[in-house]
Amino acid sequence: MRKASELHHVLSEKVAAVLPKSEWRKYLREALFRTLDKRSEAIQLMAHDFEKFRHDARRVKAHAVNNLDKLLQQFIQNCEKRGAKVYLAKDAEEACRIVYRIAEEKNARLITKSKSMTTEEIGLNQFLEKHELKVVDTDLGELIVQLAGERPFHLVYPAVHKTRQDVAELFSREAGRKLSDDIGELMNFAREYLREKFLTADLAITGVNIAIAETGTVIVETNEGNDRLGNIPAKTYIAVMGMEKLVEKIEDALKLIVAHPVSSTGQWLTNYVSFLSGRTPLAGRAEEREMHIVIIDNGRSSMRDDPVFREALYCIRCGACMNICPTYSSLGGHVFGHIYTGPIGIPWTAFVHGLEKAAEFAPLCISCGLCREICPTIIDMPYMIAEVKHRYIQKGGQMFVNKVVESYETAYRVGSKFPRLFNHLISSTTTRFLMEKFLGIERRRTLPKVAAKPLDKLLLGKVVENGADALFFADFFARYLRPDIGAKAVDALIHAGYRVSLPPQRSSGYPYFAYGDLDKARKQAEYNVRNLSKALSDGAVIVSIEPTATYTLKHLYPKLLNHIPEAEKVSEATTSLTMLLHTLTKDGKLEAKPVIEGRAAVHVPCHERAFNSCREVVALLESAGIEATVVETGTCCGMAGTFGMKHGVLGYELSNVVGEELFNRMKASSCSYVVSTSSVCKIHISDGTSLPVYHPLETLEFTAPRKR
Amino acid sequence: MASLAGFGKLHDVLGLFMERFRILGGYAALAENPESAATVAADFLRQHGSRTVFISKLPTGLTQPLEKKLKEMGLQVYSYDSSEDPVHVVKMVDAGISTAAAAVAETGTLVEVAFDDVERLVSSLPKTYVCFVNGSTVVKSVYMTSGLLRSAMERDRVSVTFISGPSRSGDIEQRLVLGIHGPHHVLSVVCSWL
Ligand code: SF4
Ligand code: SF4
Repeated sequence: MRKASELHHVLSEKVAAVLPKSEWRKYLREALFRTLDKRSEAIQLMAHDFEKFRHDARRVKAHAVNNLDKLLQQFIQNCEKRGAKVYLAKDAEEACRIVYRIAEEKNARLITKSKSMTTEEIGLNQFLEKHELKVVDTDLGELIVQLAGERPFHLVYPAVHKTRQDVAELFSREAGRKLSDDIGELMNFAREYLREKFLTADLAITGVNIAIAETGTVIVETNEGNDRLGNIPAKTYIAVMGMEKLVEKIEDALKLIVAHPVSSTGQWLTNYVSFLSGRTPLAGRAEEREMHIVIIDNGRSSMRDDPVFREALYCIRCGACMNICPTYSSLGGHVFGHIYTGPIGIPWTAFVHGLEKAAEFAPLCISCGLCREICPTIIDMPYMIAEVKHRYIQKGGQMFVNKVVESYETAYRVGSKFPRLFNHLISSTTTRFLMEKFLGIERRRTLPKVAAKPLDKLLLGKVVENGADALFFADFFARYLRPDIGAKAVDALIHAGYRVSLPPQRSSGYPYFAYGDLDKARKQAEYNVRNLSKALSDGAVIVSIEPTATYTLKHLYPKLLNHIPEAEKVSEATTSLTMLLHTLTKDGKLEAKPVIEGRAAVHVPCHERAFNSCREVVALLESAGIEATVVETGTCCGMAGTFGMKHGVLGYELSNVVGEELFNRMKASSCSYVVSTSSVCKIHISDGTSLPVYHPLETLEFTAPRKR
Repeated sequence: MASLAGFGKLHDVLGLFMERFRILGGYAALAENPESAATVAADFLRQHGSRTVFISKLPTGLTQPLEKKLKEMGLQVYSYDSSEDPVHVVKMVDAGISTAAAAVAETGTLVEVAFDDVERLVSSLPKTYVCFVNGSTVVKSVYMTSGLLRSAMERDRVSVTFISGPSRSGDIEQRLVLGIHGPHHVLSVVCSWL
């Protein structure tokens, strides 16, 4: 296994090569964001109760994965009854050999293939071409990348990175004449070019989107209809599928044929959804028409047997996670991916192409959590990715700079003893130069100052020891940086009638998670959960001014601690502070007044999204008479905790590139200041826009309601 | 063209189907009798410059008026003849005509049930495609097709295809282009007399 520093070097070079391409990035982002907009429209129309829709889809996949062996047997039996031949391939090599043997037996020379990530995964084209068979990819996007000699850039849009000019050049080469970059003309060329292949091919291969065990049916979805044109005329048809494509019943399949396009391209249904049950005869002739189904394991059984990665098999390949991923949408699938790209590409690569391959691009995950929020089967990719990093660092080691940024709390704890000296040092050019050189902390990045007065002092006489109905989780932000905001939150709760306590605690430890140091993250979680759960009385809430802290208590700790009852109890009690304050003002239990003039641009930190609480921030500000609008790109600002503090392309520079679009929008919003609940997003936005950035509590003053 | 007035509960579902099918880039029409269905289909073919057409399955009572109409308009009509390779014939024609087993309103989808791939050829190869669908088989949502699928799949070999509008691709700069491989112009005629 190569060392972490070697992988870091290779990845840095790849990232550095694409960072300067700002025009290309703009084009890519627009394409991905457009898809997300269409997706939202389709959800409105087809899945009003999106949470239920997601849970239904997840249940279908979970049921299938839990019963995989049984369903596999049932599927094989039913397919064989229909005259199809079914093969099980344990790995890529075996799968390629099976396909090759069939082709050889049929004396096939020309093969058409319709889009299939599984055949990409096993390297089928390369294998067959090595044996002198001609394989033509018939999906337009796949054809483009095939002619370019590249691999797919995106799960759903394999050629999304190519402009029409690029395509015109590729097609002109193939046509032997100059084609214009008119998309209609390019499509016409593809139509004619491929039609001839369809009608003369000896064999057709397609991937499989879903397979129904109870009926022995494979389902193939395409928008272009290329699967049909491939497998209708060809005598021999081979469907290549991963074993995770199985579902039990027709009803299950129907759920997924909706979930897939809605979440993927924002369509109501894919244009052509073919349910193939056996091989239908052509003009009454059935004898020569064969159907072969190759079912591939290639690491899937290991995934299924691994409790952390099992749910990676729930993926329905909609690609939404890559559209939302901040680093993917800045770098694209040739940097952020191997064969499988984007967020889900990391766990999949770890199992089908090896841990080291996955570790090559896993550091591009900055743990914003958005992929989990968007996934139609609610796959916890951030957790799996952290686990990939964790498993890798056992062998390849941890990067020194990651260890440095993980220990920020220690540095600030020491710093808080000598605040003036510490603040002077972190602002001095010399110190910053040395910090960059020896610790890997970017010198241009503003570092937050440590507060002069500790939180405990500010809360003296305000918090209670026992019987609290609100526990304040200070985290790093309120403990070391802005105890004044922490105290304001506590005051507001007291005004609203809460008895607040500050139980013993450490900071959330999220950076350990982000860098894959899961043992350390777990220790932190154990400590906090033990103390918080002890202090938690029935009906009490836990709040924090930092959304990442809230997110960690709510979503991460239960999983890290294997869902022990105490962690679940803490999770249950944890709520978004801004949501709570908004409810309290709405219910007349608290009054809010503005203390800052002007219009506010509200930033939505990623971990606030998980609570769906950004509207509450706006509503809270508005209830105090502040004019506020959400300004966002729908994805992360790029700071990602400590990521944007690290020197180099895999840190500060990438974080700025991720943030550029948000900064532009903030600046164009003509708002006088920005409001963000996150302490680190605040630094990034302030560095990137030069606008003042406040925590919402800084812009408001809370009082108890006046007695009438 | 026929109106939806007087169709009671069916009104919503047929209207929705036609609306959604049109949003997808297809054409949709309602016909109250075989003659009007034949006229709508023939006009559509003429508008799209079809001179040859391959007819597969048709709803009861439609064969005669349709063939008559098409011939009157000078179109050359082919139908399945076991002596010929259907691929050769269908690849030559400008248009295909067949009948869907059902339709789904919410998604603007035709449900094609094929026990023979000639059916699928007709809806895949020609540039123009006309599909008749019995109005009483139009269901509201995709989830309501499970019964139809289950009974079709009782046969040993069957291909059911959900077809939602003309074939499309967004693979070049995500600009939507219709008719990449399959049909470019698709008309669905909802037959209300059936
Ligand atoms: S992981 Fe989820 S969001 Fe990503 S492609 Fe798979 S199903 Fe879609
Ligand atoms: S957690 Fe965020 S950065 Fe990481 S893979 Fe998911 S979307 Fe991308």
